[in-house]
Amino acid sequence: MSSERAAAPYTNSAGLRVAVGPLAGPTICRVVSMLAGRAGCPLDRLDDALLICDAIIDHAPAHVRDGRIALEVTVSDTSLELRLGPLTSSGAEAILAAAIIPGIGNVLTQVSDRAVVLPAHDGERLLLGLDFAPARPSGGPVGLAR
Amino acid sequence: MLPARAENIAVVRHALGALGDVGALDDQTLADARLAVTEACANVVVHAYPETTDGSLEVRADVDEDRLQVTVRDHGEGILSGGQDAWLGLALIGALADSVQLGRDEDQCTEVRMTFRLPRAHPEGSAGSAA
Repeated sequence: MSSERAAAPYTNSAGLRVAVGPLAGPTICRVVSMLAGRAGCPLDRLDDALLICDAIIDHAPAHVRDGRIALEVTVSDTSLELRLGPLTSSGAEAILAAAIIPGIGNVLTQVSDRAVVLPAHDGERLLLGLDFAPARPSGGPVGLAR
Repeated sequence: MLPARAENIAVVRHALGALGDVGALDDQTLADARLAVTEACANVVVHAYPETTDGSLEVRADVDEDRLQVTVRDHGEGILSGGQDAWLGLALIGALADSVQLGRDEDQCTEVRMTFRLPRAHPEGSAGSAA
């Protein structure tokens, strides 16, 4: 019997607001790695994503507006996007600039496929995107029945 | 905030583990909190949005020196609409948490607020996270 049907593209997302402090790093890295893993993100790109998270955790606290790091994580079967903000004015540029390592260059722009500063009325955002090849056929959502 | 999908219950569970990473919670409290929050999130996934697959699941965790408070919210019918299985889940949450508040907030969101007393003070101060 051949009853193949086109699977819907996989997408998932999470909105995080984490207080600046010791919990920020573990919380952000855990959520990003979990979402990336479930999206089929290959390990090398997962490493890149966590490197970006480390840079965010190191540099974002000086540029957040309310003592909390706000991060939107969006994954599909071909990409992972981190949208950081709202940030203070010029905060996104400052975070990008802080990622420059002498002799290596800008870690954030080299590791990510997209690094874009997005202006917004309530504070700018920094968009960092990673692309990857789909690792598996898209599946439906995991079921839960009671 | 996440889509109210079964797979995201695991994301919430994993995120709560961050509280253990920084020593904010002892192992027993963390295990209790994870199980209780799993039940609350499962109730949202199963019962909150019977008419749509686009609902959201909000989880907020606040920890201070002597307690962990976790609030699970939805914008649907929530646990209040569930049948006996939902109330079994609530009973389990009640057994694990030191206190449970159930109701609707000022935005008419259904929320389950669980408080876990911590057996000792910890040095990290207060921190909050939401997934």
